[in-house]
Amino acid sequence: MEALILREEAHCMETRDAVVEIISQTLHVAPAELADDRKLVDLAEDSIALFELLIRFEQALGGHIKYEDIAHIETVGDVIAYANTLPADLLKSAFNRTQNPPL
Amino acid sequence: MTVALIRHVRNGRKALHEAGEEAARRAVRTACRASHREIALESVAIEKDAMGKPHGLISGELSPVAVSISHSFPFAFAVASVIPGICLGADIERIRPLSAAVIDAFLTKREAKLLARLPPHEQRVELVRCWSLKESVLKAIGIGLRMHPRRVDISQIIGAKGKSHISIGIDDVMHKVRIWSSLMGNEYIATAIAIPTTSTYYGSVNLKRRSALYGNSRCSS
Repeated sequence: MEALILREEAHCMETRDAVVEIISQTLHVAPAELADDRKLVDLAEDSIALFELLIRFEQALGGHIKYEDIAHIETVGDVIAYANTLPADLLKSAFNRTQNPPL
Repeated sequence: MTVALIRHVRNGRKALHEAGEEAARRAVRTACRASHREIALESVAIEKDAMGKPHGLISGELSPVAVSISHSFPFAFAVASVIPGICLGADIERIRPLSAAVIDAFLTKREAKLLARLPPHEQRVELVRCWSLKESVLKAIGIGLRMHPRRVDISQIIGAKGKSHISIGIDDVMHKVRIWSSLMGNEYIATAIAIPTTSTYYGSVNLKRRSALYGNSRCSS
């Protein structure tokens, strides 16, 4: 049971790291500033930057989600919560992809 | 459709938001004036509906006035129309190079082909104008970026300078619209669009708007 909880915690940390990495790279905001309650619309310079972030998530997740599935998301915490609902292996590959950003 | 632009807005979200509402109130007053009615600026309030779309409310009147607001530091920009049955969308953007990923994602194949025919010096501005017009359309139908911009087809607008009445496609359905765009120096572009609500099911019915948001239709290219 303890091992399972530890594995879940590790999965959540990886998810947070992947999400924060994508937001930080795309919007040019330091990871330390990406608190869960920060609104994406406030972090993005304009609507074009916000759109770029959404398509990066869409591409990072390898087309397994639709744009419209993520376009209603408002905060950094919402993105992390949504990403945590996705399968772990999908997120792992998304995280690896952010090490060599596709865009 | 009347336009109000406020320059030299202080930076910061609150200042831009307040300037946007001020621009919208002025646009409502100008729209009333154009239809031979004088109203006081203080009698106009701007309120948002459940989807975040703003509406102008004139004190003592039941029918809201169609408005749309946009800001890009140091500008606040708004449009208004007192003509019933119109939905409005407005956008102002700083002209800047767009990444290849953004260009590939928001343009339809037909739009990309038409833009590629333009001289390189025109492409930079026209790309931002295309983005701005698509955002104006999405704001007009009250959805914004929650709907993929590629589902809006503005290919008839590309290169059609000086035309104000034109057709656009939303999910492959064509709608006759009125467009307006203006360059501010070489740094910013403002656009606005008026769509008759009778011509689009997106107009004002929340259920239909939700269906557009969360329905299964994929973006077409």
